[in-house]
Amino acid sequence: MTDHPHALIADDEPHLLDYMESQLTQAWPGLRITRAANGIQALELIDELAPDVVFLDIQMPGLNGIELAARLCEGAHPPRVVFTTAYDHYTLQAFEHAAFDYLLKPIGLERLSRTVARLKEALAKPAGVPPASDALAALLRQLGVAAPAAAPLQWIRAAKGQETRLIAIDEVIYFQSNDKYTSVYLADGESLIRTPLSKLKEQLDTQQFWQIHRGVIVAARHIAGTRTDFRGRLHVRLKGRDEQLVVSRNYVDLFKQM
Amino acid sequence: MITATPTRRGHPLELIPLFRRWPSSPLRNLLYTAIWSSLLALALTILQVVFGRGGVPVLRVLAGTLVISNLIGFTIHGALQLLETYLPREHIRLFRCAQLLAVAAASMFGIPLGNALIAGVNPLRFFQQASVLAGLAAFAMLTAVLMVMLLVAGERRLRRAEEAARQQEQIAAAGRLIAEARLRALQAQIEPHFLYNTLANVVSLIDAHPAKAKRMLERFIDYLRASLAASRAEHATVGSELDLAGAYLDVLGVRLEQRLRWRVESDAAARALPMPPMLLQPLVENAIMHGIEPKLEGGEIVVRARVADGLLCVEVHDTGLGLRPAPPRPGGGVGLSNLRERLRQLSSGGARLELIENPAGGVTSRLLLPL
Repeated sequence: MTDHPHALIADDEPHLLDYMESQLTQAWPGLRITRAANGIQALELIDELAPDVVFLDIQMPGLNGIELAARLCEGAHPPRVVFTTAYDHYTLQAFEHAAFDYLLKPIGLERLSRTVARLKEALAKPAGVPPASDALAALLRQLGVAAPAAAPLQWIRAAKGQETRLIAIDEVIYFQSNDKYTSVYLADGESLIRTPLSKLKEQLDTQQFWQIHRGVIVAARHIAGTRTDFRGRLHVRLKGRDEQLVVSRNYVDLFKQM
Repeated sequence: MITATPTRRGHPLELIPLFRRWPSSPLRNLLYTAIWSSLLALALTILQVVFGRGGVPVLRVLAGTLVISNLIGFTIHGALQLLETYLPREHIRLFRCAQLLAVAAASMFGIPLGNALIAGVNPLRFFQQASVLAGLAAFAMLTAVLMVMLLVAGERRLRRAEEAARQQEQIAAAGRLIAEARLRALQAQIEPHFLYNTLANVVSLIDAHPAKAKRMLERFIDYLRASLAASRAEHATVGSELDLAGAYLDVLGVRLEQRLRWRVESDAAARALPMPPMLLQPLVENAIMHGIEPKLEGGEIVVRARVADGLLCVEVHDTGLGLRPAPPRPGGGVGLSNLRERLRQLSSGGARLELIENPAGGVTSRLLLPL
């Protein structure tokens, strides 16, 4: 293998990929280089060609460098992974455990030569130690790309005339059930959405959105306080709004000691 | 003391907090004088009933006192109003002396005149006896001193209230200014990914494609200059904001090559309109960051500016990936909530931001600003 070492370089910016190729050619004469323009393409080419070393850009469409490295770890003979990036505010130490090396773009010849020397040394040995997958998982968490499955709802789609308006969940003051529909109350108006409140409830972050009535869910940060009327019913007052929302008996406990 | 604004005319009745509720106006002040005089008459009548000689029916006493009190009250009102209009306040001691004299004179002549009106007595009779005259003069002086003290106290209270209100307003204005400046500075921050990736591209191009490297660096300098100017300026024009977006997209166009197509659509009339700086740029950056960059095949960005229904409408249309539940890239861009907050600071509810999901994919973010 050391006779014909093979590297894959992946970057979504073509000029950076060109430069990487020319620098690597200089630093490592005799290296076979394959190019990939994004994470998906890189994964396919790695599966097909099994390179010895991969240089992965961290921000790539389709599959980012760290996700890709995590996939590679699952394979039997993972290649050595070198991450490349122009800017990252993560500590370099985080990458030391997760990858063979970590290079900052534009990649200088001197720095690259050191990496190449270490790579040659490592490739001469029979088997490399694959990067710890838990270290990669930690990196993924830090990047905020891990486990999006259970993420609470962030955008609400509301039809308005011919258009579909997108409402950020932070903008919502409260939801009110309206037959099969749900009214969404915002600081600058209201919208009607087709999702019934019961369905909507499952997708909301219960820390931020409190159900106070069978038909009302209110954003906690918009609550100004409560008021008890002469019949002993509890009402929620809202910041900067006149209307008050009735709290039904089942949910009164939410406001105990408030 | 610097008081460019004329001191608001108060009224002695404002001594009672209830009567501070209504704003000062000539009509209100006349009404207040009637109330003030009548209240005084009532108090004097009660005193007379309790301590005075009996014999005269209470209602008659009240009627007489009411007439005299109102007569004096309105004479003082008129006299003070005349002083206020014709005598400058520069020499405040002189002004106060004049007020004293005016009130004293009004009281001095009010009682004889009042009695003359009610009982048909010659008013000059009061001035013939020295003891009556002395009593009258003493009463007039006492009224004058009390009245002027009340006026001074009232004016002082009004000035304090005005001063406090002005300070509150200044504090609030400073707060708004600071909040706006902070938000604007946040939005004018050059995104580090953009900065470093662009510089890395320039280095990568410099040997192989020097012309391309040069063009990219030139456009990057345009972007830096415009973005620095925008972070300092209070006002920009639609044209200058579109140019900034153009420089940014041009740099990215070189970097992403065929993955990014873009164009700007606007007319001369819209370009000349003023708009707050750094409102459009975050929307363009969002379209790149969340729309085009994460999409394998890239896409198109169209920036449009037009005037419609009395609103300036500036929108960024992309054919990118659209909004996904994935959290935004860390360290990248300034959130839309920040932009909304700025819109609130800039105009009292007139400006708004709409996000629309395009039927063919991608997002349109639309700024609507009142003209």
